[in-house]
Amino acid sequence: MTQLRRGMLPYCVLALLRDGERYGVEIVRSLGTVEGMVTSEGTVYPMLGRLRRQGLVETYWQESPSGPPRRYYRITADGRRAVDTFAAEWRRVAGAVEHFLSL
Amino acid sequence: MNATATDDIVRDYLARVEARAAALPPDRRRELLADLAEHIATSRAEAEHDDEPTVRTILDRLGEPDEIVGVDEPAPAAVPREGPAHGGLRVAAVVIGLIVAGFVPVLGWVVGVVLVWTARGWSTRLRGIGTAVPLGFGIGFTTLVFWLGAGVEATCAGNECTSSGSGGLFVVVPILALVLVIVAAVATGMLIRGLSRRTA
Repeated sequence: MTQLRRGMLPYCVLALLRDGERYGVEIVRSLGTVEGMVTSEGTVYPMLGRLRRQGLVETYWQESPSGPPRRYYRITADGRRAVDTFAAEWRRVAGAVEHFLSL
Repeated sequence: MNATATDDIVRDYLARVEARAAALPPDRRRELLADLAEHIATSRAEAEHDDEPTVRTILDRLGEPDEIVGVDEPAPAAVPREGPAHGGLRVAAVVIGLIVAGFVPVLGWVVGVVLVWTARGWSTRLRGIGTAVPLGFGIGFTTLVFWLGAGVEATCAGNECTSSGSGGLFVVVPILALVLVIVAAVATGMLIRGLSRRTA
């Protein structure tokens, strides 16, 4: 189950970023509002780094009114494509799984 | 007082992450630590009270270093390392090469330093030692040779051989040169140890 969640998490973040740019703490907080998505918040950061290296998100720094400068994450065109592909695939698979679970 | 106590807690936590992340490539480790430090600082700035319970809650929610680092750790084999290439022979070749390079004025050293800094899988400390070793050997040894030459010339110059005004310098220079050579030798030892630990 941990593996499954771990595999889904990047797409949830990409989907989140489709709505607009966010900084790390915001992303972590949004993921935390959905029960069972993230157990340790710290694991989100290595995943964000991976998304950046894959070119699915890009980052930039911005001063904040309170506290240190924040690193913002923005989805790229590749990132949008990846999450769209995933969404279509996910609906198909979820439908299939649901079919068997509700037998 | 209170602020330093909470700062210590944060520092300890980040140090534990850093220790746990030792196997990650350096740039990845730095990025992770910077991200976590920013997360903590931003969360503290946005919290109602910046006190110890708040900081502890932030760190608890971040999770154990094991979990955070483990998530991004590739299979051990995938970590790029030069490992098997460093045989005992290779270590000897590197060290001898560095020392020899130190004797070829300037050019040899420049070539050695470029090689040391472009080699993959060396830590910054090893690179530093690799840069200093030939420099120490080169300067130290050259100075010693010159001093010996000068000494011979002085004794053979006939009646005035004994002194010259710079008698004090004649003692200080060779001692400095000797120290340089010794330091370079010790550094070579550390280099060999560092490289062989990598090989093991």
